[in-house]
Amino acid sequence: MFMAVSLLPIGILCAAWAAWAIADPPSALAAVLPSERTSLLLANSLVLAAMVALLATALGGCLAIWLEGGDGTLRGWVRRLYLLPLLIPPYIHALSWMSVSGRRQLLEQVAAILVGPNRLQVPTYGLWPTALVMTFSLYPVVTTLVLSGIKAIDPETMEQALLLGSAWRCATRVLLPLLAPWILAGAGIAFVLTIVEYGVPSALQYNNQVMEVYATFSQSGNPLEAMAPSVPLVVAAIALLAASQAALPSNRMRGTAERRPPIAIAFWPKAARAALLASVGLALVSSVGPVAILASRVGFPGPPPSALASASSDLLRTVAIALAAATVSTAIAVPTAVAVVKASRRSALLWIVCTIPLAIPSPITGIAMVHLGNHPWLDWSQQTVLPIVWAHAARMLPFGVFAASTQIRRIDPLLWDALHMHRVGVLAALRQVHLPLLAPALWKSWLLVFVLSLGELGSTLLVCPPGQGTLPLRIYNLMHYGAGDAVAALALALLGIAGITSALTLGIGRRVWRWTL
Amino acid sequence: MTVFARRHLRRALSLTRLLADPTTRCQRLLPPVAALTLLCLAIILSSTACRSASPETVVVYTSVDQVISEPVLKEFEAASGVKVEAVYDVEAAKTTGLVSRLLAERSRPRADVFWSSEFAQTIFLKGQGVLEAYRSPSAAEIPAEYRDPDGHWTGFGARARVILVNTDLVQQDKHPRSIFQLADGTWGEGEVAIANPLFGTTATHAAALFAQMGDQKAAEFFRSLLQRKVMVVDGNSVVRDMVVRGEVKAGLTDTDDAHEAIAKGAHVRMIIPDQDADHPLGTLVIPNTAAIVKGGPHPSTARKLIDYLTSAELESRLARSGSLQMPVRRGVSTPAEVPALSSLKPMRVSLQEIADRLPFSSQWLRENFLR
Repeated sequence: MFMAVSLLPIGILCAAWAAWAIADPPSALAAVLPSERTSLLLANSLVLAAMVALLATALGGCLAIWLEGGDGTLRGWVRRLYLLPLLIPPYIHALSWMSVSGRRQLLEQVAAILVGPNRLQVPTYGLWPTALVMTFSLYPVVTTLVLSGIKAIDPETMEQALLLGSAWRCATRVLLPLLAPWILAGAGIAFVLTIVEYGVPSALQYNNQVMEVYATFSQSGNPLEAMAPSVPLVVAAIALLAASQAALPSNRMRGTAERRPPIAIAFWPKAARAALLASVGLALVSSVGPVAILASRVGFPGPPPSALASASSDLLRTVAIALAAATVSTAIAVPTAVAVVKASRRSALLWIVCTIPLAIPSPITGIAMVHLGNHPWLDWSQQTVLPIVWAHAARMLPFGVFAASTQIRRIDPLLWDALHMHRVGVLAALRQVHLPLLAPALWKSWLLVFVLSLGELGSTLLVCPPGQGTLPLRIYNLMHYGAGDAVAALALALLGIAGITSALTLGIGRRVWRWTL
Repeated sequence: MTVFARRHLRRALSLTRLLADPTTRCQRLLPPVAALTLLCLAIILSSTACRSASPETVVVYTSVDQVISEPVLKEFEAASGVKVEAVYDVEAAKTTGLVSRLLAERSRPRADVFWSSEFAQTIFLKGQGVLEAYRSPSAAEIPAEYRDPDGHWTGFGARARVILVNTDLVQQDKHPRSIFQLADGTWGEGEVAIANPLFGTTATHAAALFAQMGDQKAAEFFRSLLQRKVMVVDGNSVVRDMVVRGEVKAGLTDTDDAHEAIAKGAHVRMIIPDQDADHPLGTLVIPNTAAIVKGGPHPSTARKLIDYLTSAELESRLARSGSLQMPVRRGVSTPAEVPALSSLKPMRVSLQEIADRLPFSSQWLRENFLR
C-alpha cells in the first residue's frame, strides 16, 4: 500500500519517460542531461541544501545536547516550544522574514543600534536569507533525531568516560562519535528537504532546480519535459538520504529510559557553552518569532480581518483535506512502520524505500498526479479533492512512518510473543491488543501528517481542481500581491488550527499513554 | 525460575489483564477513530456528489490577480445564481501556467471560460483551436482593435507597462523617461528589476518589443539589461515591492501594481515610458481578455459570464477597484486618477503581431536571458 500511494504516480511518470526513451532515445536522454542553465540551477540547489544542512545540524545538535544536559524551567519551556517551527509551513517563515528584513526594517534597525547605522545591511532576498529561513524551519528535525540518539546512549558508557577524562574531552571523543549516526541522519534529511522545497526559494527569489521544474511545466504543459531535468537532483537526493540513514537501523545502542546519560555541560569551555546558549536563543526566536510577527501585523488581539470571512470555505476545505490525508496516511504508515521495525535483515533497505518520497520535489509529485489524472478511467476524480488528498498522502507518508516507528520501537517485543502464546483470535487480537499497543503510534503519525498537510503548497499548486482552493494557495497568491495584513491573518489562522490540533492530541496522549516529547 | 521466564510471565500476566478488560481507555478511543475514517471517506465522496448535483455552474480559469478577480466572480454569482468554480494561477507562472493547463485538457476540457490578464496567450490559444467564437452583445461598443475579428475573444479593462521609481533613492532629474534608459550606464548593477520575461505581461512586453523594434534591436536591449545585472524576479508585484523597499531603484511593472504602491503612500513615482518626441516607442497597453473554451462542460453559463465580464458596468468597476484599470470603450465613468486610454501613446504594433512574435521572443529569452 505504501508503494501504491506514495510511489505509484512517480512510477507511472517514470514508465512514461521510459517509453519515450525507447521511442526516441536521443531526445529523452537530452532532456535528462543538464544544460548550462540547469547545471547552474542544480548547483544553486546543492549549495543551498549544503548550507542548510550545516546550519540546521549545528543549531539542532547544540539544542538537543543542551536539552539533555540538565533540567529546569527554561529547559521545560524549550522542550515544549522547539517543535513549533515544524508546525509553521516554510513559506510562512519566509513571510515573517520578509516582514522584518530589508532596508530600514526591524532587523536593520536592531543592527543599527548594535553595531551602528549603515554598518550592516540585512537583505530580504537571495541565498543567505533563504538558507536562514530554511534552517529555522528544519532544525527541529535534527534536534528530534539527536535527542533520540542521546536517549539511546548507555549512561554507564558516559559515566565511565567522565571518570577517565574531562567533560569536554568526553563530549568530543565519546558523545559526538556515538551521536554521529543521528547527526548524519538529521543532516541528510535537512539537505533533502531543502532540495525539494519550492515555497521558500520562490518567495525569497533564490532560483533553483525545483522552481525550474514548475516553470518548465507551466510553460510546456509536458510532464516528461518538466520532470526530466530534475532526475539528477532526485537521484543525488535519494543517494544522500540512503547514505545518511544507513547507520540508523543498525545502531544497537540501547540506553535505559530511567536515567539520562551525563553530559556535564557546566564543565565545558566557555565558547562551547556560549554556542549552546546561542542555539537556545535562536530556537526560541524561531519558535515564537513568526507567530509574534504575524500577530503584530494583524493587530492581534483586535478584531479579525475581513480576509478570514472570504477565505472561510478555503479554510474548511484545507482542514478537511488534511483530515483525509492524515487518516489515509496513518492507515498505511503504521503497518509499514511495524514491518520496518520487525524486519531484522532488510530493515535498512525498507527504511530507505520508505524515505524515497522525501527526495521527490513537491512539483514533481504534482506533475505525476496531473499525468495520472489525464487517464480516462480517472477523469471522474479530477473534479474532487481526491488528487489533492493523494498528493498529500504521497508526500507525507515517510513522516508518518517515521513518527510511528519511533513509537513502535518503544513497545516491548515480548508482548507480541506473549500474544502468540495465548493464541487469541484475529479480531480479538486486533481490537484488544494490536490497536491499543499501536494507538500511540497511530496518534503521533496522524498528528504529524495532519499538520504537514495543512501547509502543503508545492504539489497542491498543480493538482487543485476548479473551485477547490486551499488556504496555502490563497496565502501564496496574496503574498505575491503584497496583501500583507490579509496574508498575516490567514497564516495565523492556519497556525492556530495546527496549534490547537497539536495541543489537543498531545494532551490526550499525555493523559492516556503518558507521552513525553 | 530464570530471568527470561520471569519477565515473560510478567508480560503474559499484563497481557491477560489487557485481554480480560474490555473497557480500556484505548478501546474507548476506537469509535472516534472509526468515525474519523468514515468522515474522511465522506469528504472525498461528497466533493463528487456536490459537483454533479449543482445545476448551474461555470468553471473559469483566470490569471487576473485573485484579489481583483475573486470579488468580481462572487458578484456574478450573487447576481446570476450561477456557481463559479475558479482556478487562479500563481504569480510565478501566471497566464502561461493556465494556458498549458488548457492545452493539456484540450481533448477533455474542464474549463468553460478563460479570463486572462493579457492577450498574447489568448490569441495563441485561438490559434491552437482551444477557443470557441462568441460575440457578446455586451461587447458591441468595444473598439475593434480590442476584439478578435472572428469573435474568439474580447478585450476589456486595460493596463499599461510603466516604470516605477523609488523617489527617495533617485533624484527627479534622473527619473527615466524610456525603458531604454534602464539599460544604459545610468544604473549600477542590480539596481533595476523586471519580472521573469517568460511569463505574464513581461513576456507580452518582450514580444511587443521584438515585434516593433525588430529582433536585433530587441535582443540588444535585453543583452544590455543582462550586462547591467538586472534583477529578474517572480512577478510584477515583486518588482513593485522591491522598488518600494528600496532593494532596487527602479523597475518595470504594470499600472495596477504601481497604483497599489502609490495608494499605500509609498515613496515611488509611476512613469509611463516612451511618450515624448525623444522616445517615440510608446508603451504597451494590455487589455484583459475573456474567451469561451471550446467544448467546455457548461456553454450556456459560460456565455452569461462572458456577457458580464465584457459589460460597461464591469469596466467601470475595474476602474474603481484597486487596480485602476482603464476602460477600452469610450464614455465609461472612471475616477479622476485613472488616465483615459486615449491620452496614452501606445506601441505601434497590433495585438496579433505581438502574439505572433511571442513564441520566438520566449525562445530567445529562454536561451539567452539567464537568471
